[in-house]
Amino acid sequence: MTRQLPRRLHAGAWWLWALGLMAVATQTTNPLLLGLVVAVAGVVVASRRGGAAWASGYRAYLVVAAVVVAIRIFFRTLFGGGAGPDVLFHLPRLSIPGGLSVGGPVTAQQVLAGLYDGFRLAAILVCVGAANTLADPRRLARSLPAALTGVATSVVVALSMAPQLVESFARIRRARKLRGETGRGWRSLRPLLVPLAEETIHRAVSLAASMEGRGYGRSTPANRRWGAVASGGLALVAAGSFWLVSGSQLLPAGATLATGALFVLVGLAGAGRENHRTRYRADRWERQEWLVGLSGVAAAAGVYMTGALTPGILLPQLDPLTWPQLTPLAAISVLIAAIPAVAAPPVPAMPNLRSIPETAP
Amino acid sequence: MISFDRVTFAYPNTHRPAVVDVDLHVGEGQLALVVGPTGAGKSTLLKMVNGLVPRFTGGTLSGRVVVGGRDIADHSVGEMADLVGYVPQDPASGFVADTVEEELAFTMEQLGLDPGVMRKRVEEVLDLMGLAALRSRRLSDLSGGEAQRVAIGAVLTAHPEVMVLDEPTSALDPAAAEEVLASITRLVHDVGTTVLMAEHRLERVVQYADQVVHIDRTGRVEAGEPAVVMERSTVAPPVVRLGRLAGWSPLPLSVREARRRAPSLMERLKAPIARAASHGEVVMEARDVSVIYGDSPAVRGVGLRLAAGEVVALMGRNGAGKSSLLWALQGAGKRSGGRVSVAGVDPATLEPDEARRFVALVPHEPSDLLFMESVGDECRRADAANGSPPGTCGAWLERLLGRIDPDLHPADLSEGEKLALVLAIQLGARPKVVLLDEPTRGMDYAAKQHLSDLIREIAGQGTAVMIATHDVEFAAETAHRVVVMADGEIVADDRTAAVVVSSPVFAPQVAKVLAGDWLTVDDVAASLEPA
Repeated sequence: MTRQLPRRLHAGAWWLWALGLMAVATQTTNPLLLGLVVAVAGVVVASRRGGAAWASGYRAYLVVAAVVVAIRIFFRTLFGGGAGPDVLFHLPRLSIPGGLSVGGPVTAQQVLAGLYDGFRLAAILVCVGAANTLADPRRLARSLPAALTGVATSVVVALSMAPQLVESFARIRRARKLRGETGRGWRSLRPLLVPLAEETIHRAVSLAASMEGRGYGRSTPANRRWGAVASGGLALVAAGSFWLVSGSQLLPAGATLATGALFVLVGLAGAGRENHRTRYRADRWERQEWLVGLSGVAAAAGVYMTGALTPGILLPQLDPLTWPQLTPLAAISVLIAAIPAVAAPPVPAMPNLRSIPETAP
Repeated sequence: MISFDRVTFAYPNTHRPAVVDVDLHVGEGQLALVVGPTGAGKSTLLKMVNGLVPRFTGGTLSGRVVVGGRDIADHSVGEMADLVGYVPQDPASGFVADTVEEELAFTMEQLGLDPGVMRKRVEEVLDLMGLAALRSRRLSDLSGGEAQRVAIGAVLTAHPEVMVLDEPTSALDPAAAEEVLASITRLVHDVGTTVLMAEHRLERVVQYADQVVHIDRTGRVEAGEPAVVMERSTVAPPVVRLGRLAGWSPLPLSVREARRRAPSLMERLKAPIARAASHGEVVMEARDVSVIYGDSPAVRGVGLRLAAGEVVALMGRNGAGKSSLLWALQGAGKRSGGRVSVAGVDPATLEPDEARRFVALVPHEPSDLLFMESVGDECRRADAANGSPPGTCGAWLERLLGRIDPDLHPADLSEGEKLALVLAIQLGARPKVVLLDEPTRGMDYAAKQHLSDLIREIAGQGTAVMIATHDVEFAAETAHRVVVMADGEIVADDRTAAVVVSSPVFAPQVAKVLAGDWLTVDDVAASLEPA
């Protein structure tokens, strides 16, 4: 077997994989299954994340996820109103005019409902975090279809601006001390915000001039027409999906969705043909990209089938209290999504060449 | 290649045109240098070449600007992108991508070049600009000189026939500036690119120019042979001023030309007058100061003494730790170790509004300290904060700048004026030590001379002044003592003449020409025997 060449996987592949895992998480409140999703995401992140700055935020996502679970349980405990028979303990009751009440008996059902619900949300958050950690969001924007390159470029530039804003803020905050301006309250904001706003506006103007001077926005009228077709289609898709989810009239909703999708495809294809921009070292979509993307899709499909065959597995009963169960199908489906941990190409080593910043941070 | 035909341009809502009746022709493969005092319209002239002026700024333009056969009236800025490469004054403000490689490819992507061609050109430019080692570096991690070379490289990949550069070396240390200028001259000589470039520090570039375009404060333009234009130019590098003093004709533009004529001048010179270095008592003593960011030390165990009345220049390449040292000395910045004592007190232990009465720092970006609606408000707020009688800051400002309209918005001031305003605010606190970080950026010779005189005057009143600067001529003019930093350590600390004369990088032009202890044209004038 030949050794895999270290390279960056196409950002879209990681996002497809993460969307698959997210689809698993949205379908279930089973804590065993959700735990499996979080574990799979963690294993893949641990083995395939790069050393770049954007890849270091995974821990923050985990912390936010934990906070979400805690908040969910807290509110269910406080406002749950004692649904269910198994009372754990009593909280002092406080009635608020208008039929609301706080406290009272706290049941195992309401605490567990909070835990399951919060865990589902947390698992989705962890999946988003995994995708963000594994794939540079900028690379994803750069890989958008040709018709959207204008938008994509703006997004990429905006993403690059954000850290600069943070740096300017830190610099100005430090500079404020030189004038002895360290008061508190509203008045002390002025020495911070005025220079920051000035610098931001100045930077935006010179950036716009620079982009223009380097040929950004040399679009043709035909290009813009195709863009309009695609945007119209996108609106139809949005309306159609909303209609579909609300669930009453499946046929017209589906038709709207399909028409919208057709418009989008035609618009993108047309604009792509007219487009005169090209992409430098575009990410390629190869066998490994298929493998990674499809492993996520397979997980989602397997869990969907579980739902069809054994519905009780995905939404475990609370009344009476039962221990959540797993079927081999559900467990193996989710585990398929762990394949990228070994199958995805290794990440190329980042040369660590950071120089000391010229103006001290 | 570039032709201006009776061009007059005025910005909106101004009474006076920025440039008047310009007739200018730059041939293919020529390097034209635009010179003139601050605010004379150099940038305006440059931005007209690809139509940023007037398309981006508004205003009225009469006459015709034709570049490579394209009239800017008929082509948008974007349509000129394949013909004209424009590098703005602050290169980092124009960066659009995330890494060096992506930045280099941006213009080509917009022009729709074939991916194979793009790949090849990026590799070529990486070599041409000496950027190969930086290819996957993030743009925000680059030093000033690196950023400047990336900015030039980023427009080069599109193979423009015309390059327009606005003060490409103003933020660079002498060695990095040499490097950038070497790459620019290589473009002119080897690739045949036409270059139009503005520059304040003429001593660095004037000898490379085929044509000098001089703009005066009224916006009138005179173009011609460098030696001819420099005869009358309102801005002149030291070597030209030396030539004028000695009455040489034609004027020498480079140190090499001047050195050939130097013996005749040397015969007429008395021994150089030693500079009276006033050695007052020591007001600041720093011992073993170090600053560490993460695991990279920026300042390593620096010891330094400043005496009352002394002016010290702090020199060294970009990233040598000069700014970090200044901030650590003031107390507002990070200090990882060591002791600082100003009149017996460590400023880092004081509240910020107390610390600035001991050490005042004018930072690299003076506009960070300005936040009021008008110059008058800034001064009133400063006086109230300093506890000084009303009008103190205004009086300082008047001495620095002359009369200035107190209703002006600080954002409308030039870089030099902003610096003066911040300096006036800081001086109002009567500090014992004044630190200035790179104060001469964007200043013309007259403004620098004025600043130099003022700094000596402030020092004359018993304040110790330390200036971090890349400007060797300014340091030679102003400082009693020069401290050179490299890699976070002090590598030289001695009288100005002793440090700079022997150094090929830090020697001012006059010292290079006369090979003696004369540092400035004024020194020479003072010891010149009447002919």
